[in-house]
Amino acid sequence: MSQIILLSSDNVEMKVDKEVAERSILIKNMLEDVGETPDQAIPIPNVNEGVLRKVIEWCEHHRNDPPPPADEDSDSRKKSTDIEEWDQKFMQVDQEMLFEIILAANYLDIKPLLDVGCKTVANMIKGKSPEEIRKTFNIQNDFTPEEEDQIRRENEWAEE
Amino acid sequence: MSGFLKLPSELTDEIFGRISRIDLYNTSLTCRGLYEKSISSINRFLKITVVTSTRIDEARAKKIFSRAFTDVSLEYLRELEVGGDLKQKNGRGIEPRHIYVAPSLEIGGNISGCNVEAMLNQNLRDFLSRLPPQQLKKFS
Repeated sequence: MSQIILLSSDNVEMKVDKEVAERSILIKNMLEDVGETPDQAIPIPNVNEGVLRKVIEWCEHHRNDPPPPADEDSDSRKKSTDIEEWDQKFMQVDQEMLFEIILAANYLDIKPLLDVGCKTVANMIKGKSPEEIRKTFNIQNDFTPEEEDQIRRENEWAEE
Repeated sequence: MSGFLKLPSELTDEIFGRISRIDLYNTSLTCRGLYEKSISSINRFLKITVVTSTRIDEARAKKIFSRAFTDVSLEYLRELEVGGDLKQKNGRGIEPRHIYVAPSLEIGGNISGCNVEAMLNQNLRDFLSRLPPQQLKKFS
């Protein structure tokens, strides 16, 4: 099994199976362009060591997943917020890490991981009041009372 | 700063596409940053209901409706329902992000295509003028 080396933004090298790294479409395309397995480390400038390790952990676990069907019904994929058990546990990280994983999955083009991340955040929002959402994500309310009132009026229809 | 606010709008859109409009509405009320990012998702719920009378069938209502849009961007429309229930007393009325249009016999008694068209356009303009300017910008 051929291996490649990834270099995190903070200059830490990580050896991974090529097959695992190729869960990232960005890396897969890069390797295809190069044509052969490179000896040198591949820099991943936007992802630090901690996040990259986490992403690789996910890729290791999902290394044998079948590729998603090409003409996947994106609507049904989007509507569902079901997350398989392993992924749920995997996403039990602090919020900084959760959002870093989402950003890294987007950058590295790992759609199923991006999906899991977005579903996790969606589930954290569901059924909560604005104040509860603020608490959950540590958000400061920066509206003036007038602005808040105006948005409420704009959206009265939503409170059916 | 909350990590949530660091996500670019392409990623918050992914998240907002998975929650209900009530959840979306509650999210928009948390802070300015998320309000701005949730606008385009909130507006996907823009809905226009044309209440048909016995004298205007669905096909005709749709035809009139599409003509009424000639000088207003169709991008604003997220859902068109023809033949919905009449909820307004006076035959036409406007709720935020939901326009009811009923070619009512009580109004002038004339339901020629021209009048209905004018009414649809008037309603839509009314509605668009109620949206804050930054929302209109996001949409165009």
